[in-house]
Amino acid sequence: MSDKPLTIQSDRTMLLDVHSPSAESCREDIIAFSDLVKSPEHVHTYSVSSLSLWNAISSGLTAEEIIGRLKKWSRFDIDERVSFFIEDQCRRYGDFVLEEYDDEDLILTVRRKIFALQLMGEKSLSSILRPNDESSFLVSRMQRGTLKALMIKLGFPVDDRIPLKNGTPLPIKLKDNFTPRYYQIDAAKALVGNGGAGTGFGTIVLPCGSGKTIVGMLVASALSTNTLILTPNITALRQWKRELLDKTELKEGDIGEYSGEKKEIKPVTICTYQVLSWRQGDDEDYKHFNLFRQRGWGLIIYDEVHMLPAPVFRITAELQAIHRLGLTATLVREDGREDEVFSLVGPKRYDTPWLELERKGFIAKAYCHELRIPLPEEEEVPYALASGREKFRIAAENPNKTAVVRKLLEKHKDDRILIIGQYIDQLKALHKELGFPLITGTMANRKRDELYQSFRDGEINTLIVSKVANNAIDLPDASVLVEISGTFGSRQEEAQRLGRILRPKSRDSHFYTLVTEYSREEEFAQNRQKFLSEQGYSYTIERIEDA
Amino acid sequence: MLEAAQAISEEEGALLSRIYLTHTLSEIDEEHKASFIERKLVVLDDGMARLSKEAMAAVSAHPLLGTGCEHEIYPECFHQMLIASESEKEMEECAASCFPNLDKAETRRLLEPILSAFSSLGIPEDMETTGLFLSLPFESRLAYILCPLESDKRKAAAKAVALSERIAGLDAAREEEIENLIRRTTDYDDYSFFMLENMQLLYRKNGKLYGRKCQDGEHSLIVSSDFSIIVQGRTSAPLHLFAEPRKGGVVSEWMITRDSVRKSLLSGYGSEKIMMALESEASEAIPESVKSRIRFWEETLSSVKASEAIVLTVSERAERLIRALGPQLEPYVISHPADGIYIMSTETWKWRPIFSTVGLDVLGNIKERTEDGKKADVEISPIIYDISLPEERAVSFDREKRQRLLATDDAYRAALVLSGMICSESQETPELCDVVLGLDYQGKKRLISSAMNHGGKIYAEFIGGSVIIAKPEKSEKEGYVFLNGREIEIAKIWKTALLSISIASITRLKRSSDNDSL
Repeated sequence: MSDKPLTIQSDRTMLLDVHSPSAESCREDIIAFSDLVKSPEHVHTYSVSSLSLWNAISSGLTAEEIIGRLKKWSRFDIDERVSFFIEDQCRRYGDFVLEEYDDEDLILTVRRKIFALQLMGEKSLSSILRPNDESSFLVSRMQRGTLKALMIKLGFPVDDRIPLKNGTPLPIKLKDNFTPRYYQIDAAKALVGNGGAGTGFGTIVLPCGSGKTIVGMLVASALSTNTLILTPNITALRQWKRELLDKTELKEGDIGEYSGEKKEIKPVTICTYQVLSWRQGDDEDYKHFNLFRQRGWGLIIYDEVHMLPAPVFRITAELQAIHRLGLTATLVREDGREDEVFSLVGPKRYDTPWLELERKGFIAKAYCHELRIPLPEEEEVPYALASGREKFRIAAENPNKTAVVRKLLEKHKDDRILIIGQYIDQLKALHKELGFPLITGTMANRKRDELYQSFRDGEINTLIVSKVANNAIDLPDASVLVEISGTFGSRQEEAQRLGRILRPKSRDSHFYTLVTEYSREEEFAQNRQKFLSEQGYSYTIERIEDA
Repeated sequence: MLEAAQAISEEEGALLSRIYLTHTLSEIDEEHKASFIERKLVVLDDGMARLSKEAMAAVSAHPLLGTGCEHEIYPECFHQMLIASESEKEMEECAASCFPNLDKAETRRLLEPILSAFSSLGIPEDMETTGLFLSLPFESRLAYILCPLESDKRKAAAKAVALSERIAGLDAAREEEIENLIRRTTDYDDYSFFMLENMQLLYRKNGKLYGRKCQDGEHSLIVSSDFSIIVQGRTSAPLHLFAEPRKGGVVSEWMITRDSVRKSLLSGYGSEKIMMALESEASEAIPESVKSRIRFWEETLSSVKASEAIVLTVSERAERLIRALGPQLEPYVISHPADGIYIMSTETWKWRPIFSTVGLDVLGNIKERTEDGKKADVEISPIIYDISLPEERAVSFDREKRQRLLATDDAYRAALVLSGMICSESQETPELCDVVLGLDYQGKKRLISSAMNHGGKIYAEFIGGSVIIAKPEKSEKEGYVFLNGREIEIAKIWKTALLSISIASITRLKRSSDNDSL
């Protein structure tokens, strides 16, 4: 291999040879205008899209600079189509400029007349744009986000020159009892930018267990403004509160909890997606949306932004004047609406390969195992004859799995172990047989928190957990995770579960997936593993002969 | 540039995009044609129509140009057409690397037939086909370009290229003679050194001829744990048999999927073969998870296997005779489940002659195959199959190494070692040459007389294991031939092969190398 690490394809994907000595410097150069698509062990794939280019331009890069960087790192000559695309897309930025007009409206100026005509003919925009003159339109302030999102879909990037509002100031000082890691600082910097137009909003993608909360705190502290933090559930809400009290100078009285139980609104308010998207009936208003209009928020943090519910999506379109930070480990939404997250909350500003953080010791080294367990002979025929759904259940509840779990517990008796499964009956049986506490979705929050706490404190070393509230985000950290059954294709779920064992500790972590051999579980497991294998995690496959 | 962008109409935009993709003005009406050229939107270059930068900018200013694909920005809106032109471009690149001395127009001319051949075969000119094509070994790719329309000839052409690539230090003065020999041994009539030099496969140096070495630029193949294969440069691994092409370009990307492996297994290309193919080429270790996954797929898929066989129902008397044939017949009897029933292999050409020795004939409605028919089974992919050739190697003149290689019981192999076709222990004995075995008397006669007509040498192995390599000479006695002055009964020769050019010349070399003059 030559010493230049980058191969640029004519379809604008770029392959980075990570074994090259200059891979790191190259990565730093290209990440500003491209997206990381996948990062398995040897070659990482990045892609250049209109959106990634426009984001780069909006933060000050030029086409010449981008092409210059590509030339610097590319192993081969750059395809004419690629450089043309970059020049062309960059030129397009600036064709549409959005600026202040009056208290009610913003003005969209169009540089080329031909585009103005096209906008006029565009049905989806007709209710939003009001022609002002030959080459400009008026837009209501409330429609700012919607307009931008629609125009991006049409291939027209809007250069939004209206700076974000600063919000009501609130000094947020970090304590010096911890040192932020380099990537947390880089991520926060990438988001805050220079404070000019086109900066101050976006999404940060970092693996579970790598300290995304700290990035949030760094951003909040840089902006020092009234901050609204949206979290997926009450456990996460409490965790944010604990962290804020631990790592910033904020006092108990500065932080409000806006949940099903309490409705406090303080300079820093943490709330859950659930309470925000609650309404009395289908035709009623979302009355908690008022929260967004209170206190003059200068920053909204969307924790686990991939879980953002649809109504909050919509209101986010109206909040384009406020700094926005989306945090997530896995920007794969099974509903395929990633691009909407990007256009409304903000583009991906920072992303890093998981294995790189593992190499540097910021997340634990994790081994993934897929254990294949045969069905007992007497189940083979019933399985073969069963309907689709039953098949999955028979495979999931393979009684041979219990013996395997037992063996794993023995092997890892000094570890903290989570056992996660899909079917309550199976979990109950396991609970009965092994005696470890079982946590299900119907358990009261208080009781659940208690159990989690004693697991954290080391009083209990094994927990059996059902697929709590469809995500693993509120699970405590562990060093071994045993997945006795999972749903089809939730790459998201698999990644979140792995996240539970990634917090760095003195021992390596192990992730076991139990799969019934020759059953549909094999296929399911492979689909779930897709995301992690693209991150470079390699599953060893082991066959359990004498279950 | 901006003026130009504003100056084109939507119709003109569509026409320009068409020109961009087709490189030709033939589909454009006169009026537009003249106007485009006058406005410098289209430039004619070597008979090809190209869009000027202004024109490209102008086209791109029409992001919503109709094309059936709504609201996709340039160039995605031309996706379908782009794919087609993309694949053409890849092929052009391949052709250009084969014919570096030719100019673009000439290369295009060469390429026309292969593109039309692809479409006449019903193969879409898409990325996938391109991927398949590019995954073939160099010789095969070239053969497709040399004889796109004649599949019989293609194999011959690939052989010829493979042979000439191995030429090392032959006397350039004997050019014509060698050319003729290659033509004859490979059956590729259009063969010429001129063509090879044009392709830079053959070089002249100090009055000697040298074939292309293994220097096709750097190449690498990487298998990752997400089951992707990334290939840069060429590879001889037949990826198309067990992976799906995802992307072409400077590097190609492939994906191993359950389905692709299934197809591969169905066509007889098993997990071990896949692993060997990958391992021999991979630049980085293949992830264990990928290996075990492929093995597990094979295991799951192969729990029920189908194979062809022939069922014989035999009378009591016939059964007694068959029993008497005993061990001779055994290799072809798959099973003998009950009295009077035999399940036989489909190699009828092997066991029918044995039956006939005891006077038994076989009646029944079965599709009989010939040995050649059996070879057809090896053609795995219905679309593009690899013209299988032994790995290309330079001839090894390392005496010690050659001695080691020669320490084999297989005399045929030894002959190939001497010929330079086998250069390493790992190389299997190839079937590059025309080989005729035991029973095919007519075949042996044909081969020997062809050697006599062309003055070539043959390899003759006898049942006892002794070997003669010689120019055959005619004998007056029917069924006999003179080899090295000895009159020999053709029927006694067990294995015959027509030796290729390099064998003939290398045996000479061998003699001189034994005196250490090389």
